[in-house]
Amino acid sequence: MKNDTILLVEDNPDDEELALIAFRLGHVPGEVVVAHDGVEALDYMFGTGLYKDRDMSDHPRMILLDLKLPKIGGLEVLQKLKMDKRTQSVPVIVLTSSSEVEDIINSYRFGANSYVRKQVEFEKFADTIKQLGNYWFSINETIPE
Amino acid sequence: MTTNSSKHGSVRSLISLIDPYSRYLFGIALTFSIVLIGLITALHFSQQQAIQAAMSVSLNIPKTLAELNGRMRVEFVVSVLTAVCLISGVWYFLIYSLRKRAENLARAVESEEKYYQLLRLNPIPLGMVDLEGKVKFINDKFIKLFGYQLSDIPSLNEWFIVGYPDEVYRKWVKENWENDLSNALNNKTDIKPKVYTIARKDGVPLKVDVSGIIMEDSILVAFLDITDRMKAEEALRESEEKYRLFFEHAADGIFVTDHNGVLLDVNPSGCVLIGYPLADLRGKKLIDLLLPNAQEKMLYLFTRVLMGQTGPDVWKVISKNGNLIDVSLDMRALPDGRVLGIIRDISENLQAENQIHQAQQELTNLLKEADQSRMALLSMVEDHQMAEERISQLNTELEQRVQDRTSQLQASNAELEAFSYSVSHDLRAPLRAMDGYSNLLLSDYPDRLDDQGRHYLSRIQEASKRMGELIEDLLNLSRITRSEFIRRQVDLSQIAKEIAVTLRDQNRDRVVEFKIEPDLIVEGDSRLLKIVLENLMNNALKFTEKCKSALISVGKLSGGSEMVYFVKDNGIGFEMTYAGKLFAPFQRLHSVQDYPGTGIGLVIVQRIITRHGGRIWPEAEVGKGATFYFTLGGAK
Repeated sequence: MKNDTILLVEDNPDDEELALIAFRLGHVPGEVVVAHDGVEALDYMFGTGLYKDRDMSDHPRMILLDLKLPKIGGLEVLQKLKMDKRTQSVPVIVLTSSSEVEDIINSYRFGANSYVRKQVEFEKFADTIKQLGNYWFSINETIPE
Repeated sequence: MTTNSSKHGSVRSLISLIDPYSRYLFGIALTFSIVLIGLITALHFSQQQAIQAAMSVSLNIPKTLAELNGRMRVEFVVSVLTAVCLISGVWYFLIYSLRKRAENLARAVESEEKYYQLLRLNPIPLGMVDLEGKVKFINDKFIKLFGYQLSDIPSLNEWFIVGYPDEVYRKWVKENWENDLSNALNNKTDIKPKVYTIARKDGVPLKVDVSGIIMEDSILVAFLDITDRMKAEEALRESEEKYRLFFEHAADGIFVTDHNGVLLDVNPSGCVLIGYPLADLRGKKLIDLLLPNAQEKMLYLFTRVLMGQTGPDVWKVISKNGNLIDVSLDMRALPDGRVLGIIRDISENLQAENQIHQAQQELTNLLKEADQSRMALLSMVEDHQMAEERISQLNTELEQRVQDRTSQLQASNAELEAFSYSVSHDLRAPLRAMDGYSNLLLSDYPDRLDDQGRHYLSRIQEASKRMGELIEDLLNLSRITRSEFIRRQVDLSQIAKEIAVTLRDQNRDRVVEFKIEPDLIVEGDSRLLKIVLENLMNNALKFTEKCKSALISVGKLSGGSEMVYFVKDNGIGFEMTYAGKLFAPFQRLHSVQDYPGTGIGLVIVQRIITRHGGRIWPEAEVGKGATFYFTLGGAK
């Protein structure tokens, strides 16, 4: 059980690439798995569909979740993860462009562990990613095995 | 009376005594006188001689005669005769005048006697009192009327006591009498007649008209008994009154005509019935009130009435307004030749009959209609149900329309939400890509780019950053519109202080003084008001950038009916000509290079102020700073 993957749920290829670059630039440890919509994200987490052979016990260290996603939206994904005992302890960081109050409120109501805005300026965005990696990998304690 | 008779008798006897001698003597005296006057004239003898002769004769007539001569004898005789004549003349004169007086007296006595006779037998009760109040005489009628004898009422005092037994009344009568008497005496008139109630001897009161004549030494009083007359008058008056009352208040019309049928009087009911005032009816002929074809019949009837035949009849009378009124008419002739008629409006009776007939008819109709009504009612119930259905349908429609409208509104809100959401999420990603890749190019390929290339990339970065800011502000603006409004008490001073602290932290390199008036307490949405102050104070700070020492004041204006708050700076200001542009989205008065910003801040401020029901306006001058005033609605 490695517990060092990062699940990045992001449908925008530009954002995905920039995020990956930011991870690299920020020297964030762990493997980044990208899910391009809500269904994919849930499949990964619950070992269904595309990921039906995945070891379910291997939870990602953190999930970076965009809210606006095709098929199943980010908030619904969040809700399902947090309502399932198997996945509810996995930190979910909502990473979005949105500054809508509604989004922030709902995210926390459904159990998001953090709400982070994607900055338009790449430098700031890269810095945010770096800090997130640092925090969730180095500072934050997870439930012991 | 007795005294007068005796006086009368003695005078008469005296006259009869002297009468014969005086006539005789008168004859002789007259004869002698004529002869004597002739002789005296003829003989011219002196009076002296004659007197002397007469003197001698009277002393010794035979001797004297003998002594006298012829002429002397004659003179003597003449003298004697003259003396005789004189003496008899004087005598006669005495007797004559005495007789005249006796005759006059006798005549007076005779007339007085007749006078008393007249009084005594007078048909009017009379009494006579002297001025001392002694009753001198009462006549037979007086005695008969009152029953008192002269002995009962020797003086006025007794008369008053018995005639006016009531003391108060007596006093009043006495005063009246004395007053009238003194007036009559003073003015030499009669005592005017006055009616008194005088008690008869048996106590019966009589109405008596008392008048008097002042005589030489007495007052003759006449007592006219008007008791019966007054009773009759009273009775007549009462009867007249009764008649008048009846006439005036009878419900039926009553009229009186003369024997020609000319109306003399009509009672009020009659006037009302015919519709004319009394003045118009008087002098009108009865037949004038009838239709022409009925007039002859009336003339005939009237003749019959005058002959004593009566009986009610039904007529049509023309009223003043031209209507024909059905009346019953009953006339009868009065003894004086006039005709009394009683007229009664019977049109109502006829109407009533008609009405009863109609009512019966209506009842029949009603019964008929009842059935129809029952049918109608049933259909009405149906109608009612239909109406209710219609109302409920309308209500439903209305509700539907309200719902439609609401959902339209909701849809439009949702659309706005969705739009904002989409902008929020999707519009910024491309900007991030532009900035991100530009950044990566600059950092990863520095040696492959010359200065120009790097410049272009930095311009792309700047543009995307600015675009990001614009999007941010647009979203803020839409959020202001969409957000909930919570009104409560807000301490503007506190908010301003907090903002000042933040601004100072962010601009440590600048000298800025914030002057914030304490206790600016307002009603409003604190979150929105904070945005207002943030924007205004940010602007103030921004446009004082080039001042050595910036002064930013927040306060309120005193006076006026409305509370006016302001944020004031001593910055670069602006031309008031452009003030209107301040509140339009993306309008700017300064270049972005000099003073960065999107031009949306004041639009947001204005929208918030408007949501509070207030106004905002600037006051500025180039180089002398700007002041933004605002109100928040509501009175002071």
